[in-house]
Amino acid sequence: MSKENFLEVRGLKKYFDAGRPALFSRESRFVHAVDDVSFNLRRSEVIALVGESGCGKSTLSLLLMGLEEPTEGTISFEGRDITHLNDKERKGLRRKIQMIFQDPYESLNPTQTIEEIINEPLLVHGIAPDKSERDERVKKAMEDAGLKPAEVYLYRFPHELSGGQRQRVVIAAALVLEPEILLADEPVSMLDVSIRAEIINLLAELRITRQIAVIFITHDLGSVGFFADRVAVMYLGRIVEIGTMLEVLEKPQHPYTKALLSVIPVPNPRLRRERIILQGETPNPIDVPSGCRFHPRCPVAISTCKHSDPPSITLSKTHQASCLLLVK
Amino acid sequence: MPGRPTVEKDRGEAQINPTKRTVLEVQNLSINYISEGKPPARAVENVSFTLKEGELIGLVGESGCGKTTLMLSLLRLLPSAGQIVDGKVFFNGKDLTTISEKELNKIRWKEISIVFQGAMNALNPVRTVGDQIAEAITKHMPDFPKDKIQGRVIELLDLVGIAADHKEHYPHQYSGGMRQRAMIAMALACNPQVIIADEPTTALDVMIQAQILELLDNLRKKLGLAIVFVTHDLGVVAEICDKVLVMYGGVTAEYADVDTIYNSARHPYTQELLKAFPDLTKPKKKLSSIPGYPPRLDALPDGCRFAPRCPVAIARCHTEQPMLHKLGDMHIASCHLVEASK
Repeated sequence: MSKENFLEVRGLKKYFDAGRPALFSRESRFVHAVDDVSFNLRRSEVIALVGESGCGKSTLSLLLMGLEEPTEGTISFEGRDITHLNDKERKGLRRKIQMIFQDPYESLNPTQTIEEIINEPLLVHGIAPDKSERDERVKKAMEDAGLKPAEVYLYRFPHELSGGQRQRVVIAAALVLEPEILLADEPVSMLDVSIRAEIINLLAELRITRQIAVIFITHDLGSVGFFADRVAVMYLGRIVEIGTMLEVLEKPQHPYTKALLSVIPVPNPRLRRERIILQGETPNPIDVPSGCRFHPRCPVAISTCKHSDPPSITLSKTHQASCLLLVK
Repeated sequence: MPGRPTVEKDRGEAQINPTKRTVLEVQNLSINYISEGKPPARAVENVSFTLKEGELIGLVGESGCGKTTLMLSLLRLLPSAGQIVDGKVFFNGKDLTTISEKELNKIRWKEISIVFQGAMNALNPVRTVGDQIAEAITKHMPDFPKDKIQGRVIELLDLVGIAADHKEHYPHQYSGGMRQRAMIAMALACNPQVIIADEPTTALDVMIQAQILELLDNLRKKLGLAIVFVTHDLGVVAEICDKVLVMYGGVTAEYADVDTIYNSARHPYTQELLKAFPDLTKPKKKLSSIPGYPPRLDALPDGCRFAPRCPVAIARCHTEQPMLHKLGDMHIASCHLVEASK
């Protein structure tokens, strides 16, 4: 299997039915949550999906997890089409693609001990029928997630742990199945700044020690720096720019990426710079603007932007952006 | 804009005047939480700061560092277990810790108002936003002419950048950023001199956060508002604050103007916090975290409260609590090592 087509997403679309706008309207309206997204993920690669709320990044993660059926497009994993699977096939696949949720305060069952929480995925998937083997796996996952020594935490309850430790439990419960892809949906946004670095460093370590690929979903371009190999910036259901971390952070080409980068707080008042503050918010994905979907908020839009949808422009082997101003 | 000049007339001059008037002065404030059968929890100890007209101070610290307790105590809004055991809070020369409840009520919201954390949940879902802002006006200014209330609501919404036709909308029709703006409009209802903003941008996207920061910055310039900005995010503070109070475990770690904090911080906690913050100018740099967790109030360490997590702690740090050392005109740090190098 080539390294390239480990996970491949092609033309993925997800439209949600928003109902008919009025009683006698003939046609339903649709929320264009994910609108033609394509990218691939290599083994043990970290890709960051960045965008504001409502850009479709969470819907995209649900599609990848198989929790929503795509309207169009394909997802293939290790060369196999996994777009439409039945429950049994899906369950087998879930072992390989695991998810880490945003809020460690709400994603752990308060009545279960840490040991029970991390053991449960093994029982659900019927892995390691032997109890001693399960214990071994639970311990290994906990220590890999930085809960060392595991004995100290095994019989505690979630409320006895801090936010950072809880997020480690969530990560351990994903690791115990030995997944190949971790889908992390804003894994640090609920944590204090001093703890965030710890969790990001942990994920960075795991991709090396366990060869895990990570899809890191966040609204904060600032936090992807040292960790991500590639960055994809989403706007209104579409990837508007994708490139290596350095290409996107240091040579952003799409005006949206430039604006997003300019508003990231820099922890140094001497470096206060011109911020490009976009007015308003991401438009309603029911009525996607004509032409370039970013044009109503774009500070540098020209008249053609209203009418023609920009194609993806290749800027380098790894760097693409969709903006008419880049067409030469 | 109608109505707005009344505010500017009062406070406009001070903007030009370099010696600005001190509005709020907190002196050696200490707050304990009392619970039966337990020794008092020292939530805030010996914290001081001053705030001048049009100034923005950042109150920074991790969860549990006492920043919310400190903020609530300024208007004596603490739950009954929380008691101010020492110190003073002067507002225009009046000590808010000793004046009567009746007198304090004249200051609450009218002179000092609060933008509460979690704008998502702070609005009443079954009443229109305009209604709720009107309520803030009638509640705190019963003499306000009834026929002018709606005009004032529109004026306030305009001040925070919300179009008048959103007045009749319910909170669920607002986006997160708009709800936060509505909360700010409510806090501005009585033309206060000071606004305390408790994590006003925490749950928001970066772009909306930038919009809210810009709004607060404009408001203080336009209205001469003094703002206490409570946050855990040092980056946000760097963008707009004039001075910064870094708190750790209920005590002042460091207090200085914003440039000093970011470029010549002396307390190891401030230095470590800065390192934990992603720096876009050096994207390849590995983030460092501060190992361990903040102290619990019922199990405070004997010496310096930061000592268990401090990378440069010496033996003395574990036994003796450091004093507040003055390092300059406007620079205070509580660390034994600072004293040694002074």
